[in-house]
Amino acid sequence: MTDEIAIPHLQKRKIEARALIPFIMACREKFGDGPTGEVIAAAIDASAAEEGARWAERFGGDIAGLRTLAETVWGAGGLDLEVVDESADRLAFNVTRCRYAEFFKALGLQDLGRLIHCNRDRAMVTGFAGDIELSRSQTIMQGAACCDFRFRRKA
Amino acid sequence: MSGALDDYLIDPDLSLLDKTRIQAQVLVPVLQALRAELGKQRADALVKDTLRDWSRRLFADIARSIDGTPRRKWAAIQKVFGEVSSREVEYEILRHDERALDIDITRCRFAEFFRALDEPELGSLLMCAADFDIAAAGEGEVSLERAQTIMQGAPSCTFRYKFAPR
Repeated sequence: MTDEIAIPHLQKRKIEARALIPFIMACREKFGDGPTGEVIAAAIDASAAEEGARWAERFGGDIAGLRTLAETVWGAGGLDLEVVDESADRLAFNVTRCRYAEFFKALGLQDLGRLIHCNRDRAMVTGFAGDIELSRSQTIMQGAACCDFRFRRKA
Repeated sequence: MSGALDDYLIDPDLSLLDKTRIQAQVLVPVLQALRAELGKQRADALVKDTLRDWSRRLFADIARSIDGTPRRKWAAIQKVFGEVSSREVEYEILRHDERALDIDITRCRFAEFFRALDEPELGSLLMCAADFDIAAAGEGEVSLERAQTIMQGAPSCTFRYKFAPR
């Protein structure tokens, strides 16, 4: 099930969310936030890592590939982003508008947005390149003015 | 058409089959993880409850957003879904008049997709069950019986709609 359907990433995430949201809410209602939530999060992480590996094949599994990914796949209609620093070993950009966050906020479900959207990024990076890590101290989904993505090649 | 229906379809240029494939791609791994954690029976029951509730609520919201009689609401939703799903099926209309609409689906790409994944039950929940939720928008003015579906392994899906006298 790795075939990609050629549609904007934002649309794809919205379509996924329409099916995932009721699912996760029902699981929470039934089992609380405990182990079942972790099982779902782990399954989402696994699929994010697979997606990262596919993106690395397409764009190259390095910092330059990450920038292309961010600008062409995520950025296309989904994010406004400003690159603040780039070298062969690091890429720093701020997301100043996030339509993914707007989608979840409109539904009043930012916490789920964090779980099924923002949290994917760390797992995605592990699939994209084993030697790149992401740190991010704040996100728009959580209410901050921007998301500060800082990728760097591990020492 | 209605905002709720537009929201559901998200992108009118994207086929319903592709939309369903995207949802299956994300749901199947979650389902498999839940089965491993809870056992197949418990996980499948949870999935069934969840997806049925979701679909019922979704189509009830869509119906509410459309003006007119229940029959008109059903016809409006059916028209849109008929158009988007007819691209993926082969069918034969056996009867279509004031009192009834009988359709046999003889080929269904949704069923082929979910049967190839070995998840026909998920397909029934995501796709086939919606027909009953759409019929429910007809609030008694429209009823649907369907004895069999291709998703369940039958050679055809036998849609039998009945309309109350106007």
